[in-house]
Amino acid sequence: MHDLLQFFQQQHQKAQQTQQAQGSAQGSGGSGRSHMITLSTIRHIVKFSFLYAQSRTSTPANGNSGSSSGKVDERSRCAALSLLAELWLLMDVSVTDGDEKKRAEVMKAILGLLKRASRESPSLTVKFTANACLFVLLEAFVQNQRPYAPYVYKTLIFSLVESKNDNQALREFMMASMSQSMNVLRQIPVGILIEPIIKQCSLSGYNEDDLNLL
Amino acid sequence: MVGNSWKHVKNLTNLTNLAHHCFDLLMYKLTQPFFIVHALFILPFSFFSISNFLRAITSSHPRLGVKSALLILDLIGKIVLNDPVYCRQCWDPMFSLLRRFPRQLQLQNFVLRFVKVALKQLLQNELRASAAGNSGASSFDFDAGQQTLQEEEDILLQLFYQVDVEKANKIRYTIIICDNLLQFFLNIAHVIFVLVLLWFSFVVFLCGFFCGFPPLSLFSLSFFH
Repeated sequence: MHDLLQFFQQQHQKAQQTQQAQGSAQGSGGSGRSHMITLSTIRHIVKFSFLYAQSRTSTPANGNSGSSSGKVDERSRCAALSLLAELWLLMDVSVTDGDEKKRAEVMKAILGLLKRASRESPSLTVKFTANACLFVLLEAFVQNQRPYAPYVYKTLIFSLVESKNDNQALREFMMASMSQSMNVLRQIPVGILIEPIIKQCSLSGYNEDDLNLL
Repeated sequence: MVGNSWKHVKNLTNLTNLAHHCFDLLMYKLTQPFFIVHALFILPFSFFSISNFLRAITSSHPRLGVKSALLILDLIGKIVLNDPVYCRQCWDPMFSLLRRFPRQLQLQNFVLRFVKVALKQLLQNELRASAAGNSGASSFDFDAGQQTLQEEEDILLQLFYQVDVEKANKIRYTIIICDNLLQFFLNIAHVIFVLVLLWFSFVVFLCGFFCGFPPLSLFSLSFFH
C-alpha cells in the first residue's frame, strides 16, 4: 500500500512538472494531471487502512489474519497509522476534487484514529508511531498554515500531558519531539502548552526533560 | 563672571577624575552579581554542554505571553531557591524571561518578591549555620545565640545600605562634576556670544562711517523722526 501511495505521489509530481513545463497559458490544466488521485480513491484506501488501524488485534474484521504473533500485529497497525498520516498529507496537497464536507469527514476520522492510537493503545510501539505521525502532520500543517494544525497541536498536548503516567521513554520522546517542533515552528502558540505542563510539574514533580522544554 | 569662570576652571582639575569615575561606574555595572554569576557559571556550561542547546525553548519563543512567562517564572523561581539539583538548569530560562519583559510591572513585582524571599532564606540559612557553629559555611560572623533576629537583620540592612551609599556617592560625584562642566561651557558660550555681538556692531559702525553703507543716520535718532 505504501508503494501504491509512493506511486501516486510520483504520478502527481510528474503531472505537476509537465504542467509547469507546458505552462498555464495553454488552458488545458487537467490534461497532465493524474486522474488516479481522487477523493474516492483516497476514501477507499482510508477504509482499507482503517480495518487494520482500528482493530486491537490488527486483523481485519472479515479478513484472514496472516499471523497470530503480537509483533506482526503491532507492526501492521503502525504501518496502517503511518499510511493514514501519509494519506492525509497527500490529500491535503494533491487532492482538490470532491466535496469539502467529505474531505473534512475523512480528515476528522484520521485525526480521531491517531488520537485514540496515541492515548488509548496498550502497545507502546503503536503510541510511539501515532505520536510521531502527529508530529509530522503538525510540522507540515503549521508550515503550510492549514486549518487542521490547531487540532493536531491540541491532541499532541493532551498526549504529552498524559504520557507522564505512561512510560518514561514515551515521555522523553514526546518532550524531545515537542522541543524540536518548538524550535522549528516559531509561529505556534506556547501558552496553551505551558499551562498544563506547569500545573503538572508543580503537582507531580519534574525532571530534566520538563525543564529543558521550559 | 570672570571669577565664576575661574571657579569652573579650577574644577577642570577634576576632569581627569571624571573619566576615571565613569569607568568605575561602568565596571560596577558590569560586575553586578547577576553578571558575575552568569559569566562565571552559566556561560561555560552553555558552551560545553550539548543538552543546553535545547534549553530555554519556550522562554525564548516569540509567541510567549506575559501570563505564561509569569507561570514559568513562578515554577522556576521555586526550583532556583529550593532545589539544588535542578537550580543551575533553570538559570537560562529565568534570565531569558527577565531580559525579555523588563518593562512589565507584573514581572518587576515578581522580581521584588523573589529577592525578598531569597534574602529571607539566605538570612535563615546564615542564622542556622551560625547557630550550629559552622563558621566555614557562613560568610557573616554573627555572635551565635547572642543577637536576636532583628539585630542581625539590621546588620544585613546596614551592609546593603553601605553598598548603596557607596554607589550613590559615586553617582552624585559624577553628576556634580558634569553639572559644573555644563555651567562652565554655558558661561563661556555666553561670553563669546556677547563679544561677537559687540564686534559685529563695531564693524557695522565702521562700514557706515567709511563706506556710507549702512547710512550713519541709522545710528542716529533723527532717522526715526
